[in-house]
Amino acid sequence: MALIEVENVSKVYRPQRGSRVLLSREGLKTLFGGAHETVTALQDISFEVERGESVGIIGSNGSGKSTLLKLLAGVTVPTTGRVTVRGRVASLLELGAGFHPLLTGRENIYLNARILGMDRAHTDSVFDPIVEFSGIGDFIDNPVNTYSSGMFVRLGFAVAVHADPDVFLIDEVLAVGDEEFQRRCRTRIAELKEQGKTIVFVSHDLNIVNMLCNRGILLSKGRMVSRKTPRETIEYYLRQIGRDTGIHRFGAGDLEAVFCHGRISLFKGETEATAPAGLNMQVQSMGQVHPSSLAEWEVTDHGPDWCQARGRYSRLPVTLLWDMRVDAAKLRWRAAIECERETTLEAVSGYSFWPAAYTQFHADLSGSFPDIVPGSRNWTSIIQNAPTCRETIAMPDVSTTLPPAVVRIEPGNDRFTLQWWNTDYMVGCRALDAGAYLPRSEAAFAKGRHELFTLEFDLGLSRADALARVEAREAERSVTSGQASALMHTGMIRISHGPRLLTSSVHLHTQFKIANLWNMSPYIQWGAAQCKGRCVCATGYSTRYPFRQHWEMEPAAAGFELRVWLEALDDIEVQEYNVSIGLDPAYDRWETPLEHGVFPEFDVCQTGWRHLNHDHSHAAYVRALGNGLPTITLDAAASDRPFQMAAINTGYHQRTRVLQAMHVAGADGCLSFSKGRHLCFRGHIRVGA
Amino acid sequence: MTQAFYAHNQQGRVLRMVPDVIRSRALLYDLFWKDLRAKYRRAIIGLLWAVLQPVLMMLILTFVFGYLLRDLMGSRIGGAQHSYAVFLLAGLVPWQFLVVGLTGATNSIVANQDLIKKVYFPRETVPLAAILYSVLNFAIGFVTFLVVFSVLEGPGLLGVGVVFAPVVFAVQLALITGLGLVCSALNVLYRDVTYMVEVALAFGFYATPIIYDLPHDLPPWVYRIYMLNPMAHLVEAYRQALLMNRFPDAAHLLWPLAAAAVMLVLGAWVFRRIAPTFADHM
Repeated sequence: MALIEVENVSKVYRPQRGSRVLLSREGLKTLFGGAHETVTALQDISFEVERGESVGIIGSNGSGKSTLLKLLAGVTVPTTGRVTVRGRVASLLELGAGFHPLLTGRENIYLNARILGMDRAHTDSVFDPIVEFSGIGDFIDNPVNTYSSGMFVRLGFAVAVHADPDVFLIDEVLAVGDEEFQRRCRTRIAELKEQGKTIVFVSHDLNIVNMLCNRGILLSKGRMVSRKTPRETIEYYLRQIGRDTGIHRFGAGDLEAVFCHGRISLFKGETEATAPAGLNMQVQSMGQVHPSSLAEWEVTDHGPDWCQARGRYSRLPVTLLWDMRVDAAKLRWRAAIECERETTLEAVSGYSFWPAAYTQFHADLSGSFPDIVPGSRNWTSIIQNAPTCRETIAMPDVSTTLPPAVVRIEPGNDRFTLQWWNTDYMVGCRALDAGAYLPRSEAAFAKGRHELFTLEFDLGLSRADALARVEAREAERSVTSGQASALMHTGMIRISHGPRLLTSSVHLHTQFKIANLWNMSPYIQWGAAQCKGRCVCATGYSTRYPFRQHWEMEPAAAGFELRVWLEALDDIEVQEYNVSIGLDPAYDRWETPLEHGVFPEFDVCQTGWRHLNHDHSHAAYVRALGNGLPTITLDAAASDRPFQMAAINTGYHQRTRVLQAMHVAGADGCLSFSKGRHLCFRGHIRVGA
Repeated sequence: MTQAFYAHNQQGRVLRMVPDVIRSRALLYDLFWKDLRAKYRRAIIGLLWAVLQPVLMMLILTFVFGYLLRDLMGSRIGGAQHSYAVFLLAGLVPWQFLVVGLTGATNSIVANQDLIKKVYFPRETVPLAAILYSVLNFAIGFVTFLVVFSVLEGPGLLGVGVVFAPVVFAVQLALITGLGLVCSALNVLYRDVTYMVEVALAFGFYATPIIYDLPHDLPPWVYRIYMLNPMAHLVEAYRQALLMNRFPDAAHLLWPLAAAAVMLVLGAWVFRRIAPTFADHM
């Protein structure tokens, strides 16, 4: 039997009876049961929710979403039809609304829990977790009217979540509280879903509905329009509602864009290319972030393939002016602001959200997006490009029908950078931030209009064309010498001989051991790649320790020279570091000036790395050989520092041969780097010969 | 827990009211405590106000009617063998019970609308909690009466009548509950009810033998109309029990009892009809 059954439910509201009615012309008639003007909030709704299912209810304002939730919560009853709920319901609507302001947090917890149907023993058992989750701490015995509104809502959420009901009704709770708390709520809701709780969810955040729900119910003017998968429902929603104000649909060829209250969604043919959050903007003023979806939007002018809209912030004297045009499978999105008076904006950004099925990015550097795992609560920066980088390409996974996305920026000033992010798990997509952080001297915007940026989204390239374009870009970031070439990636260098890629896994990379933690170069932030003459340079920033790495590679005889600088932003102690090259497992022999040997087969049981040479005294080089493969040599002789050379087999799952030049600390155990730039590796990587 | 916690068509059933209330008695108790604590949290002497209120009112009324206007009152001051203060208090305490209970219940649903709009729970608990508060108020008032009586007349005069008082109390409680249910539910639809109750109580104070004794000297038809007021009977019944130490006349109990029964049934019916859609009117 379904947990929730809604059968042919309609809800009709009669007007409120008050003195205004009585004093009007029809007054007395109304009072004595004459004809009423009625409002039909819901009409003939039927659906069922099984145990463990989560259902998202989507609809524009006034479509009857809240009425439906109220019916499910049992707060009111339908005019006709039947609502049956077989279990306890906790609604996260209007959190903390049942709190009495004069009672203490503790008293309110017990009262609220009782109203939600918990007995005293149950409340006792979850009391501590509630207090902990809400973060109220010692305030628990203060009256709740001394609480901040954030604490109030947190406590309400904590009680509702710990009530262990059969059904959760969630209505826009995520729009309250600070960002950190919102994240915790989202994580908590995701956990509840994973525990198999039944959730009915109403949200404007289509991303969350998409992520969280098995099914989406679309309401329009009180009627149920669709109940399919969330993604289909959301697409349908975006395409259907194109007639309201603040929303416009436009397109050309097979590229269609939907502008909807400060958000643009892109459809390529039948598929939605952008994630549900679409393209949007944010401005930051006085430390407060104002997303474009909070502005009051109005479509000022539109045509079949273009649209102009104005969005006025209610909390900022700023109006966003967007001009969107679709032309030849490209969307050009021009954004400007109009200030009513002088305003300080510390940051402006144009965001675009892409589904997680986009797995590769190409910009300053190329790389793969890491997976977004359930534990990720924060956004993680993937790459911050140099201001000179004006174009980035996101490549979708081969298995999808998504088009490659080429994004170009024409910035209004040279502060704009393109930065790729992985969002948190609940949002679950890739975010491209085309944004500018403005220093104090540039943050003041005078009264009047200011152009910000134009972003161009090109979804018309075939996969092959896009890859060709990527290769052309990559050629700028590689050095070649004869047959050998080396390509700078995010924290890695890929080495090829002619068309053949010799490196694998993490390719050439560095590792710095600081405070017993290995900092691998692919996992720090990379960006600012550029060519200086024959040199290709890139910079990586650690978010954990105060250091940067600067890599320079320059063509040299039969290979290239690599220089690695460590820029300590503060005095820093490094225990040991190395430069390693991960090689194709087809390499089967190694040699150093002191000894030589073979790379053995990979052992299934082996998980760690296995050193193959025994003599670790300082040597000039280590080299790998393979039948039909060009010999590859890692030669650190040019370094000022002494290096130990090692040939290594990785564990079975990586199956990579590794050549490593390592520099270890002396007897005192630490290498101290004072604040400043230090050349810590200078070596020659020879391919062939 | 797979039993239907609620199906909407169950909410309107009058007969389910009693089991619903019994099932949610813990909630009723919690709501009562909430009212109590919230009411006195910021007051320095707290619950003592429940004592001070009838005492102060007794003092002022005694001063006005028992002293200033004594000549005017003449023989209307009943209970010749008792002091006016004791006589007055015997009527005033039950009257305050009605005032506190009925106004509290009438406003209770609207006052708790945040709760009502948010979650489903048996709505009866809200006015019943308000009435429970008035019961506590009455208990304190009653003790006050006993103390005043003992001080002014000597404890020896308190007799078996004290045992009969609870019978009268039970009838009055039923009457207040019935009235409270009707008024609290109607007040959601028409906020006029609050004002009507206020006016009716102000009127009732004088239309009930509180400051004076039963007006037997009225023309018979006026007296009959006067005695339609069940509170007139109840106050007289309290006085017979407490001041005359005898079981109240059946006539003074049966009429209020009939009124209470009618009000209870009507109250349950009206309340259950309106309660499921309270949230629509807030």
